[in-house]
Amino acid sequence: MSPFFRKRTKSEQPKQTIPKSEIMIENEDKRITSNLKSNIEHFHKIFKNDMDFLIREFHVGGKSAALLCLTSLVEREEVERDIIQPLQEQTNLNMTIISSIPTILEKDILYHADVQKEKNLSTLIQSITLGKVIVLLEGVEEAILFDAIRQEKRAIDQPETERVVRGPKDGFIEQISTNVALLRYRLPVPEFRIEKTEVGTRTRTKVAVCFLEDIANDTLLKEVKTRIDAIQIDGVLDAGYIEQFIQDNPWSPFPQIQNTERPDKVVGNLLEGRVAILVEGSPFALIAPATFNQFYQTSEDYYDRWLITSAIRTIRILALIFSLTFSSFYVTVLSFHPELIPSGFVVAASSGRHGVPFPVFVEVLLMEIAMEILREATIRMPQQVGGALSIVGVLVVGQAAVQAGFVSPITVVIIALSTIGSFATPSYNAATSFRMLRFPLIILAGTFGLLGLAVGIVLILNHMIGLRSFGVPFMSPISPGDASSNKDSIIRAPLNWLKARPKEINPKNKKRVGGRVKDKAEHNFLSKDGGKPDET
Amino acid sequence: MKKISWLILLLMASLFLSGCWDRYDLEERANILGIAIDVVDEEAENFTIPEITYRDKDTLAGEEENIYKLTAQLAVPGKIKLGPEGGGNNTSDKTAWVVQTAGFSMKDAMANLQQQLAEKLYLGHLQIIIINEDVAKIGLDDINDFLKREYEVRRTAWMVVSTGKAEDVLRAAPPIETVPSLYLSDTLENALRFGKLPREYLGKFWIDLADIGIDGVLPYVKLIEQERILVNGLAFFKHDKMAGSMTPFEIGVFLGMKEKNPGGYGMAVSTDDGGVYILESYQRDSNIELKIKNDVPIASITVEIEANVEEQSNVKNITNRKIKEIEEEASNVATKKYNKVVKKWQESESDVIGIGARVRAKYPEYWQQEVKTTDKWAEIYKQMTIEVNVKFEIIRTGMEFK
Amino acid sequence: MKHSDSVTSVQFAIIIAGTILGVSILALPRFVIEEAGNAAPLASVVGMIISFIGLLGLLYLGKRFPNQTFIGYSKTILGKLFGNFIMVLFLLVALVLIGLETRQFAEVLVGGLLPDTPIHFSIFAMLFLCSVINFSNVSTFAYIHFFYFPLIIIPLLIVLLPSFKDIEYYHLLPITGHEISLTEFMSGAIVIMAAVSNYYILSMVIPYLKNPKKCVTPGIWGFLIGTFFVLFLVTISLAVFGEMKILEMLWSTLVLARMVEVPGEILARIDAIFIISWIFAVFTTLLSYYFIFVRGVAEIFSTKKYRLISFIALPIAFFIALFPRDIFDVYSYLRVFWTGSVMFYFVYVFFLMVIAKVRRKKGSVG
Repeated sequence: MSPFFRKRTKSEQPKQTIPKSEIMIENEDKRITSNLKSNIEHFHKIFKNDMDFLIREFHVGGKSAALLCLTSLVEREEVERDIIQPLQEQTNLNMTIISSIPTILEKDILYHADVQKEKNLSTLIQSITLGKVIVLLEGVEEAILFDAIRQEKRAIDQPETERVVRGPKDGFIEQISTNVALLRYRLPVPEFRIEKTEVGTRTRTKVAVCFLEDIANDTLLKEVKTRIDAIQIDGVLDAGYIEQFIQDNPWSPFPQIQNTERPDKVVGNLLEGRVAILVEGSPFALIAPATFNQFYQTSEDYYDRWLITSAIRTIRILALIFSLTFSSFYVTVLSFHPELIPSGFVVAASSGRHGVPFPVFVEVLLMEIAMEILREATIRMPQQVGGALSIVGVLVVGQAAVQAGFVSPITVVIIALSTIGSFATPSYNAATSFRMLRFPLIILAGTFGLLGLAVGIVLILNHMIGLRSFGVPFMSPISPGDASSNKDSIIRAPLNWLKARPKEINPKNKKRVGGRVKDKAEHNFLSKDGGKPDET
Repeated sequence: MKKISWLILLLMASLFLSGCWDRYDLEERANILGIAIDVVDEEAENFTIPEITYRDKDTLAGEEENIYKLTAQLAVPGKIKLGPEGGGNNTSDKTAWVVQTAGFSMKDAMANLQQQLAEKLYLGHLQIIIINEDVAKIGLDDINDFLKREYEVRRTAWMVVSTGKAEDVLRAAPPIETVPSLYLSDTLENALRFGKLPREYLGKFWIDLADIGIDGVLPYVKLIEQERILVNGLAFFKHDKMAGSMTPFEIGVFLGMKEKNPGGYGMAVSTDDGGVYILESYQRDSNIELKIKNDVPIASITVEIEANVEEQSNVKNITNRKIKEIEEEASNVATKKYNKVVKKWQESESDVIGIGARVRAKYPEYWQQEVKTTDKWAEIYKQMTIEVNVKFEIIRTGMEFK
Repeated sequence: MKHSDSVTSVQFAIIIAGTILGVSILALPRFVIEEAGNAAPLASVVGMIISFIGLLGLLYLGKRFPNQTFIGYSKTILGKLFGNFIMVLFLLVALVLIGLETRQFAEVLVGGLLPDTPIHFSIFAMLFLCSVINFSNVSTFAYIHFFYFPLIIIPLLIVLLPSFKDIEYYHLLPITGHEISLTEFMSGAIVIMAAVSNYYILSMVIPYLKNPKKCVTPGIWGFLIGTFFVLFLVTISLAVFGEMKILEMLWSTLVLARMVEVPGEILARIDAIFIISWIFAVFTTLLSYYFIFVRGVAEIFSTKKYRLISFIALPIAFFIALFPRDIFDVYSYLRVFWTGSVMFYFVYVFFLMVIAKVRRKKGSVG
């Protein structure tokens, strides 16, 4: 019945495992011995003379002990204050029963908050690489583990890619713990689940699947988890890796999973019943399933008043259509069907084209490519030379090209319009896919005219209509045609109309908004009769 | 499976490479904005028609051939400056190029023209087709056939009949607009908005030509001072042949009977006390009633015109009562005029208001038994009584009350 | 068997309406008027009523066999051999119609838009568009129809509504036509009937409805919406052009679109937009035929290789499209196939109904 879980049956094929680290395999079942020297020797053999590998030997109540860690990862002060100091201060410790020593240390002596005991060698090795501190004791077959990790963080900043005028200004950063915190404090409810898994045999990246237990659809959840678990890769450096592995159609030019830097947007989507995926090391959260709708909506749409927002959304859609079709339509009209535009314009356009050596088709294609180069250059280039670039862009490509008779001024206007149109799309990756799709459209339009353009548009539309993101039709709610969900698509209806969560995601809990506030308000503090409710 | 799709992709790719069949960039098109058609005076002008469209004299069954002289106006790309500052300085004789050729028919002439030009002839922006009165009197069917068949021609272009040489009208050089043809078509377009012309552009004219029991009209223009045109009335047709012309005021009469709004023509009325009032029609309402009496159709047309007083001379005495008087007087004058105009149409057997079509619609049996052919209808139309009654109603008097 | 991808009743109605509005909207007014003259609107209404009876029959069968397609219950009612034989015929006709309709589409493009572009390309492009659709999902098919419908209707209205000011009432009168014999009138009615009877797509979709038992109301709505636009089109074309002018023209609706001027002068002529939306209409109609063919063949051979079938159908349809020599051939073939298939299909539906009653066959309630 439910639309989820259809296409991706392949993920259930037997796992093809990537070879694990040999050191880990070697130490899989080994335990530490009671001989401190040989234990230290063992670790030394593994970490060799690494710059940040620290072995600090000392005495606890007369017994030899050693502390091992990677100094680059741990908080030095914390180690000194909470671990080494209390241990060294113990001079008369009851050490008769050797096996109880770790427990005594943990219960009576150590101040540190996160203390574990571990025997397995491979786990210990892993712990060291994850920034834990281990303490080994002479004669004890157990090590004590401390979590004293120190992370380099940057400050929480305004998201670079999704700026808003009105709304929260905090954005995700690279550390997953901070990101989780940003979500947690917006959703202080026990139903908010954050389930952790690890992806990447070498990077062992933490991936957290966040959802609201009583809203998100179970099948969707299961599907997301299955897909994440099926990922086989050595390293995950950004959320983009996860996105590409779990999306439905890798051949599609369109993003089928939304990414965002904004915690408020994530929370909004969680409340709609979607699932968010946080990845350690990436300031972007993934949101699944994604529909086309989401790519021209911003979180600000919900913060401002609906009438204005709806108008702005309409403008964004127009901008999107502009950015996709404007230049190709221009090519079609000018070189195939000039009868379609007003005569006055044709006369003007033809004089603008006088002396331009290329056909319109080539001219537009060249200009579009130049525009893309400019755009790419602006992103990649150090900020200091950005000013120089814009001068080059404006003067050379704009004015000089026209004056040199290289392109016609109208073409420049058209290209500028279509490029600006694509920048009005809030979602950067969706805008880029549309911008890239206009190249095939220009080629089609330049070869077959209106027919080519129409065929191209139909192909793109059909692809979009057929596309699914986790079983949800990409164009929903427009193309399955659900009246209640359409209240929040091209327009954004007043909040009190959006009573139900979007139907296409099939959330467990449907209702989200009650009645109008006005219906409940009783007092008009300006009225003469002391604020009785209006009779009318 | 995979191979098939690759094969199809390859096929597609090869199509792309060999594509662009219809691509003619703007500068590769000879953008014809206006056409003038005259008859060649074979003695005065020494045109020789090259053999481009092959015509075997024998197979043409010795039909009397007219030689058309075709004058076309092309926009010259480089000469027109972009933007507002460039528009005024250029005189139009530089920005438009007028070329001339001759041919036995439209297609023949166009083929001749194509033979002379580097660019592809392009009729997509044809604004105006000016036809010399003499050509219009010979008949327009052949000219129309070419234009109808040519997919590029827009149906909203204008076809006008000119007094005097059509090519001179095309060569008119208005100082404001850079391309004369655009100015000419703007003149007509705006006249339509002011209520001075019926919506009789090409498409509508063709519909009227095709219909049974209705004849078409076309604007009738005249060149003034070599730079602009005067809408000098309407040319009315009998089938495809021009049968006569109306004066501009008679256009108002025609529009009144056709119930075309907004009204645009004024009429002067004088009352006994020497006051002269000019009324301009504002809204027209017409009702054509048909009856068959003794196998002869009788039409009575009631036209109600709502008018404004635009001017009064000699006196200053508009009152409620006076208004009634003016209305009555105006109705009388107009009724006389209207009937006179209708008589004129009847005499030239040109059924421009479509009495025939209406009779045919209302009394199909009568049409089938008595009329049958259009020729027969022309005969009946000429004889039948058409009575026009005009009622004027003054609704406003402008900013002045008195 | 419960299908995971289901179609809502609104989508069902729109599939029918979208299928009815197809290639022929450009030439349909002329077809009817050629036969029935001034009586075209009346003949259209009569044709639609006859067609409506067929619709009811089909819906009845759909309701009786809620889990089977046309192919499925033909087999159940008539037995495997005979049922399959008739269905193979049915599918072949669908394939021929794909070819001919595509050819008609290509002819319009060559005649009015791209005179020098080889007709092969237009044919191939349109067939290609249809064949790359994923036919394994019925819901995708429904979504496509649903999405394009407004894009077809709105430009059609943009063309039709401003034409109101050019209407002459004497073009419409007398509504019974001038000296129209009953045969002429009825052949006009049959033209319309043939043009709107491609709603038989619904018989392939009914099993995928959320509730197949409730197919009747949306089915009728879809038919009414589709036929309303056809009737509207025929009437407006006649009212603007009149009988005589329409007979002169090849594609009267296109000319109608060319007479419309948009205020604001963004585009000088609306017909570009109209042509694009007409391409959408052609696409959805052809898609429906293609859907019938692909799903039908797959069902007869009980396979799920939809993609393979649709790619095999492409070259066949391509050659069928190239078969007529000229535009007059195209139209005469089309008329023959339209009327022939509709007649055959009408008889067949009622035949099925009677046999189903007699043999007391009924679809299992799932």
